[in-house]
Amino acid sequence: MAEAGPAVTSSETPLFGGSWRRLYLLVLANLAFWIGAMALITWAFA
Amino acid sequence: MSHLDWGVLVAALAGMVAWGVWRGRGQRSGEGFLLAREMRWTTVGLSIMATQASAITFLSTPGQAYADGLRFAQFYLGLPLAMIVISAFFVPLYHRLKVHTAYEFLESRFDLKTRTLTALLFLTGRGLAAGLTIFAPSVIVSVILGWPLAPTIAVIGVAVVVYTTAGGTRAVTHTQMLQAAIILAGMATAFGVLWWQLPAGVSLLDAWKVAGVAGRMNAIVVSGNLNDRYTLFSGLIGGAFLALAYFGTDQSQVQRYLTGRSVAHSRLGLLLNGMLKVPMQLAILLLGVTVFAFYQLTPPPVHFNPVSVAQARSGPAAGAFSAAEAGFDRAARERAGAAATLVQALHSGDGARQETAKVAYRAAASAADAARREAVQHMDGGTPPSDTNYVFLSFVVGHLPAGVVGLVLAAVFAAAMSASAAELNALASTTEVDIVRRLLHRNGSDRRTLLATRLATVGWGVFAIGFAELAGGMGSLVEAVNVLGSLFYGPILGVFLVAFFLRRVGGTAVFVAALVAEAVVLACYTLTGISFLWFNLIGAFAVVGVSLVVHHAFSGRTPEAVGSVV
Repeated sequence: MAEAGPAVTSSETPLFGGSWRRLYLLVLANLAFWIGAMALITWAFA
Repeated sequence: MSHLDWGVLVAALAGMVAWGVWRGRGQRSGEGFLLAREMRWTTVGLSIMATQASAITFLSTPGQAYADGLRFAQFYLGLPLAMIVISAFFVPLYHRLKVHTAYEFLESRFDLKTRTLTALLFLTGRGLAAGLTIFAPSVIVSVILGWPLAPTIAVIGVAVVVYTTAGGTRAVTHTQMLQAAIILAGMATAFGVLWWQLPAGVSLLDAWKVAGVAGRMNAIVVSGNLNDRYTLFSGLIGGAFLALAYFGTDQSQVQRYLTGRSVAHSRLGLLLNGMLKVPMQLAILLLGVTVFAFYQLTPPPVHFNPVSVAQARSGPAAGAFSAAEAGFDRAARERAGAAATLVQALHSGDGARQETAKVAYRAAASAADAARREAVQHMDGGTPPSDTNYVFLSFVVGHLPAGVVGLVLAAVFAAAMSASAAELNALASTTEVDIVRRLLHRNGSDRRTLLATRLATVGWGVFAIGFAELAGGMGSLVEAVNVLGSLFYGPILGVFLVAFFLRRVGGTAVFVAALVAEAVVLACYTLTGISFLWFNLIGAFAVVGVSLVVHHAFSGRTPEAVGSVV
């Protein structure tokens, strides 16, 4: 995440558009990564 | 505690209060005191995390892992999903309407009665919870260290009230940055020293393998059983609704991200929380699992609450307890021997030897568990309290070196202060904005707002400290307050979901639906064994469904009956 972030103002904030969509996908990918890591831990130490 | 520990703890406490007062200095504006919309996204994100992570998080979570393994991490899997929904829908609207509280928005969307009802529900639930935020860690610290409870509560409570009253939202947010750093330093140091304290020849990986054989590395549990509290599905779905309710509608969190200097900064702060929360909780749980492995290789006490053990040793069943405790000590030593043999077998790479060692360790662990049950049934008249909350601090005090104990205690105090400061700040703001300024003094000056909000902060602080001081004598009520809190989130979330996504439904329909949904949730609680995580989803959907039914039943006949349509 860059410090500046998407340059939007409150009156023209897109819900899912533009760089926000990429950020939301990044959060989802991060979640998927940690679910995978947790599944791997469960399997490896069973 | 050593002099070094005291020095670290006192320096950290004084530093937090001084930092809060200094960063919040010069408050002359009521608006600025209520909500400083000036923070960068990193500050917003850490403030959100510091608010959610109360002291009990750091004391209970390792104990939870000790008793039940890593599966509690699944509780947080829905949180990133909630962060995305709040970032996309809630934040832009809150910023556009320039609201100070989440409940202020409900008046512009529905009506005054819906705003006042939700604000009062928040004040009631959060007001009681603020007392528990101070009480819970104080009682654990006082039991483990032998400190008197009342002064411990007073020190935490007064410290928080001083800087929250002096500097308002700005002081709370900036102090949370320092507190987050102290918490991180304390937990990381504890983890490092624990690693170093493992018996010779036992690596961290070996310790986790022993924990895995004992079933503690169960990070993912795939089960469709609704009564099973922590599963992948309850975490993703129920956890998402809980996080949506907490972060979207609880003023102690809404106030944190409304301090962002723009929509972008508020959103990025929330998404930072969505990225970091799961790994952070997993790390704390791994700390607890490592403590568990440590106590498999080193005999633990029969019960981690030393006060309960001392009472059992001098109580009416002292003879039976002492005999059973001696039996447990023998069984725990045998278990430690079996665990050490298991580690050697794991190093050998011999599959057959490893299987034999696993069977022997499991048998020894099972015998030790049985011996422990036999001993604790002689405690507290046959109903021994859970010692989960005492595991971590007991380990810290018993096994960590001077200086580190003080640092971990400073982290516990920092967490208690960061969470309760955010609560007092939100309680005072809601009291002023939604009750006093809206219902009593509609045309008051900015100077009056500043004075009233400061008085409300002190008032709620005194209430929280008073409740915490009294809480020790009413244990069952403490538990009841925790349960009650979890029963209200779903319907409140439902009201907000209708506000955001069902634009035709009006105030009276959603008001009726909230009452019906609350009855449904209470019925589920009393008549079924459904895990509380699902109540958030059930309550929210009940509000949405019933409000739609009421809206359609009355629309076209008596429009006033379903309130104003936005």
